[in-house]
Amino acid sequence: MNYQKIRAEVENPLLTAFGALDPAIPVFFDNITAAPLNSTTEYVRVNVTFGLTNDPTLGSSVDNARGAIVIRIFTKKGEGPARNQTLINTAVDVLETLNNGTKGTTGTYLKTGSIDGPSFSSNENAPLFMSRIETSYVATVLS
Amino acid sequence: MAKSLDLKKFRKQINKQLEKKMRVKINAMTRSAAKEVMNGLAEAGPVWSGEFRDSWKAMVAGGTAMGQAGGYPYSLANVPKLPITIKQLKKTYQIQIFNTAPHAAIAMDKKPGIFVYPGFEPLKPIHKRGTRNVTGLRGDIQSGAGNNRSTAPLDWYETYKKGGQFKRRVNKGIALARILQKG
Repeated sequence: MNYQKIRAEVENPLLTAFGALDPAIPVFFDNITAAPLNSTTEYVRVNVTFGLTNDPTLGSSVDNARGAIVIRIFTKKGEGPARNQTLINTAVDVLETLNNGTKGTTGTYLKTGSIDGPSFSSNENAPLFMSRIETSYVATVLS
Repeated sequence: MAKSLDLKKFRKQINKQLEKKMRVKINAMTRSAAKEVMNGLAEAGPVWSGEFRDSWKAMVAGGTAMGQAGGYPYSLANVPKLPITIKQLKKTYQIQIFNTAPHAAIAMDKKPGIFVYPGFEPLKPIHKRGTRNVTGLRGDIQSGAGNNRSTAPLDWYETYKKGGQFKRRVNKGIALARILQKG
């Protein structure tokens, strides 16, 4: 099983999409230092998790995995949800593009489930306004 | 003629009885699956004092019937009995599982929280130790220096729900109920 290929399949398009915005929005993945976060007012946190691998119900291939993708978007607090929701669109577009991919003979084939959210939260202790969307995925590494 | 009518009545009664037996079996399987899901949630989630782990509850969706109060490990007594009459089943046939701990949303990484050392060590082994990131999320801990700790990975709930563990627990519950019914 090549978990890294699955992770890259999700993370790369998100990094590209948010990087292409003006201004570019930093995206942080699991195990990336928090230091830059303190100096930014807008950023995206992506968590790709792995559940069962090679579950018999997933098919005969030995390179199947499933799990969850959780995307959190942080924007300035006290300025309404508009900016945050604009950034959510970018994330949703990426997930939809991923889901529309066709199965080839090489690479990684990934299908996402329905998207839950966005849900929003903000409290007096949190420095930023947060939204989150989440979805499931099933991935097959073909080569 | 009368004989034919009796036969019809008899057939109807047999069908009713069979249906009832089926409904009882489905009820047992559903409750067993719910119990397994609750235990799965308790095992996958964070445990410091045990309050969150012991606060999973099951109730009949759309109704008020709840299972007996109790914590992990959960038993069938903690899951309410589903209705078995057709009339009642038309109203509801689902079991809803939820957590009543006041900090449940924080424990499930849905909201940021404030974390204060309660003066005692966690019941579950530490999953990650380091510095909690500025997100303020329970499981968002950067490994390294720092004494923030978490006992379950970030987004453990989503992983449990969507990563296949939930389905596996449901299947286990159904299989257990079938074994018990046979025995």
